[in-house]
Amino acid sequence: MTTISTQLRLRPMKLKPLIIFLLAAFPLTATANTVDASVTPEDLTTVPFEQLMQTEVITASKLARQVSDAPSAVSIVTAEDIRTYGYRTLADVINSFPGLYTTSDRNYEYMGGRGFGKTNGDYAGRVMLLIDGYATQDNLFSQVFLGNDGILDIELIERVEYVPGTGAVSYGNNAMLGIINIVTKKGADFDGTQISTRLSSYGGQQQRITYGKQYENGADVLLSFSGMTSEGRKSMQFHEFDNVGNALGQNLSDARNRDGEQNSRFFAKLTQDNFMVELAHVDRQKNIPTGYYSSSAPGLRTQSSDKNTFVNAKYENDVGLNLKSATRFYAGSYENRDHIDYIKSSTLMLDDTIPSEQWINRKNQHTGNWVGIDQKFVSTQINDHTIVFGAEIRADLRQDYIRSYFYPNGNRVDATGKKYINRNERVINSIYIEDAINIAKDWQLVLGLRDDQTSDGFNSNNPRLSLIHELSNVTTLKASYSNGFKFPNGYDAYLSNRFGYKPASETVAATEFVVQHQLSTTSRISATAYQYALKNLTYNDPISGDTLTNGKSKTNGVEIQYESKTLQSGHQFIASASVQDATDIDGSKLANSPSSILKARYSYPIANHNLRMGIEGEYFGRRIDYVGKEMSDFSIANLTLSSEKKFYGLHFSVAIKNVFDKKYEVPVYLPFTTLDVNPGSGNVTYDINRPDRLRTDGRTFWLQASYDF
Amino acid sequence: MKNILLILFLIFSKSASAASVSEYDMKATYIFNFIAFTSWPNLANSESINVCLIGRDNFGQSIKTIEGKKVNGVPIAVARISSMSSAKKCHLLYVAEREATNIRLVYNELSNSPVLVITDTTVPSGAMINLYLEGQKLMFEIDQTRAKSAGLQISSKLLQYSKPMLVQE
Repeated sequence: MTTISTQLRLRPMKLKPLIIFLLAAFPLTATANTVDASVTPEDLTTVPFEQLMQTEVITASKLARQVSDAPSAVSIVTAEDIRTYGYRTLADVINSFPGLYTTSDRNYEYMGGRGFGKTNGDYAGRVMLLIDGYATQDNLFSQVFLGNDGILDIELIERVEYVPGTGAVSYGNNAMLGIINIVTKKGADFDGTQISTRLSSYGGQQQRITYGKQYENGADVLLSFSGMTSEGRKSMQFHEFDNVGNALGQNLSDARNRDGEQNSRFFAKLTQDNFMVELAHVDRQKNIPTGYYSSSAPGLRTQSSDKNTFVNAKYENDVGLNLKSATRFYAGSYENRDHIDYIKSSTLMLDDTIPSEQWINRKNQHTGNWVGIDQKFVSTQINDHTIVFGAEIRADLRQDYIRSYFYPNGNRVDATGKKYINRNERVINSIYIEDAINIAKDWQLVLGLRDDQTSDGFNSNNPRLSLIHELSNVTTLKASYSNGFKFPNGYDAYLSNRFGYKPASETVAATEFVVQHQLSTTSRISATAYQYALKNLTYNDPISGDTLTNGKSKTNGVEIQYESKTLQSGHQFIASASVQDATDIDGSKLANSPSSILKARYSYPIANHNLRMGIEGEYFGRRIDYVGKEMSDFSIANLTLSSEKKFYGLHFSVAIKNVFDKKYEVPVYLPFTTLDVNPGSGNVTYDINRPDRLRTDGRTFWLQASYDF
Repeated sequence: MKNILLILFLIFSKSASAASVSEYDMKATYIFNFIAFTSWPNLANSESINVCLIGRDNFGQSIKTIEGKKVNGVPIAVARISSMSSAKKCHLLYVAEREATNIRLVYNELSNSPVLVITDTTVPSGAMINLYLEGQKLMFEIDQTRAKSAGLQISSKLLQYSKPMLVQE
């Protein structure tokens, strides 16, 4: 009966790929049900106790259970999944979540999904990234770093949880469209020293050393260092720069050896009893081959450097039987340094203050510092109420946005006043309360409210209302309405000062319905329908050219996820389908937002449980690029073979990404430039129409080995 | 799309097989068995055997699998309670891991009422029965003295399955 009702719910979505997908998924469901019939939970109480005690159990992650209380459909990727499917960066993990995807412009990885996906200045910041409860977004660009610029080595991650929807009541600023929460490992998970080496396509290599231990007195210590380098693509041709290059007698089109990358990372964590403190740092340099800025060219040097550091400390204690306290202190810093060689030109560019008839370069010095403290209480004093309340104070001590200009000999162009500086600082005060009420048997109501105020005159009140109903033992219904917001960041402050407009806080109103259904003890399905309405988005009016802050966009979508795990035999299958319809500020289709996304992954043991095969397939429907042209759909497959057990402390994995070497492009936002160039006989105007799309790397390989001692 | 179908074919041509039991389904079943092996002084005139959970537990729906099941003709009722004021009505009280450190407060509130107190922790908690995982098997330890002082009789059959309790005090 339950299966029938699930199918009924799915029927209204008349989408061909979805149906094919579901037809494919359901035979497996049937098999799983039949096999499971011998051990349904109903039967367990009739099994003799002696026999029960000999039965192995599947240990569910405890927090995984707790997040299932969240009013949306939560997805989880574990350390085991990361190993099985060969995820190397957080971007790889995000690409496995239902409806999410990342796009690289060969500098940063940008997150997309549920009606967001811009790769220009939008970054990934509207989805919050938490590491052990610490909000990682910097205060300049609200950026989330997902590639080799990310702060954590993937091997230090215990679990990544994706909670779609707003998280403003719990996390405040930037928690607009979803929460990605990373839980890091403990020293005990390593119990010794691990060294690891990784080789990958395009001259990539990474080395890591990690030490972890839990001592007799209960103190748990984790220390890890790593470094990577990658040569990247040997050469990329951008013929859009041929004309201007010929005029200047310089090859501006060939990005030869300009795709390299390197990073170094450090992570330390100490846990004892109810106390935890951790420190994380990453320093990444990347050469950018695309002519990323309006005055830069692929044949000239463009290099970015991003450093992120944070300290996060947490103390939890029980004030009484029914009152718990959690105190958190954090401090973070972000340093972005760019070097951009300019094309010699006399044109005053929109984002610059100087024209130059000489070869010059620009240096960006973007620096952000912040500290904060959060005091939270959880009270279960009143019957049937769980009340969470608290306050947070965050000081953005520095939000410096500085550009300066230099001649090739190192002399400053700004000796004549040619630089741009915007400094900002502020304090955010927040209070919040949330009450989860058991209003009747199998009914839970959650009411939440948060108020955030900044010292520079912004404030936001955000409610959350959700209702959870356990329809039966196996079916749960959830409905929620919530608001979220994003205060203007350091970059918004710079832009608004520079171009003379008043910045606004973006807001989102989110409505979501979820059905979760347990098909058997080892398989479940969930379906979500959602609507996000964003307001106060910043955009340039195409007619007047003015910057306006009253942009609106809307997204409607449906997501379905099916999961099946039969851990004893070691088979594991997860599939998801997402359909979305997102409109941009002017009512047109949102760029870089595929209409449908299908994902499936499957893993099984081979060679007598010594090895594990992980197969992953992803399909992305059509999307439009930033100039409104439709791009074709594509699908890719990844294969990973890893050792399930360690051989004398040795563990390895081999992965092939994009097995069928599918050639596909992704949309990127690169500026269009008109430059006046003087080759010696008067000014000539050149249009540089940079590409709207970039071809991805195709099939790549990597190999990783680690040794424990 | 062609490639993805090939992948799907690969996936479905493999057969999924045997299942095992989830940790909390198993814990719920253990609780059912604990009830069956325990005698309460006041059970005969009860309408239900009240299983209470206090603190943030990880059972989810699993605890519902024993709801309504009968032991000696009396059906089991399950309730998540959030304060100790109603705990004396419970026959069995499951104290979630994060509350287990407050076990003394729990006993004070219960003041020797016949309530079987169960915890689920890796360290000795002082509960009458403590559940814990050893590898992938679910084990338990029993503090018979503590149970007796509350007027509860735990069957010797259950005692023989249990690990001897480490004395904490």
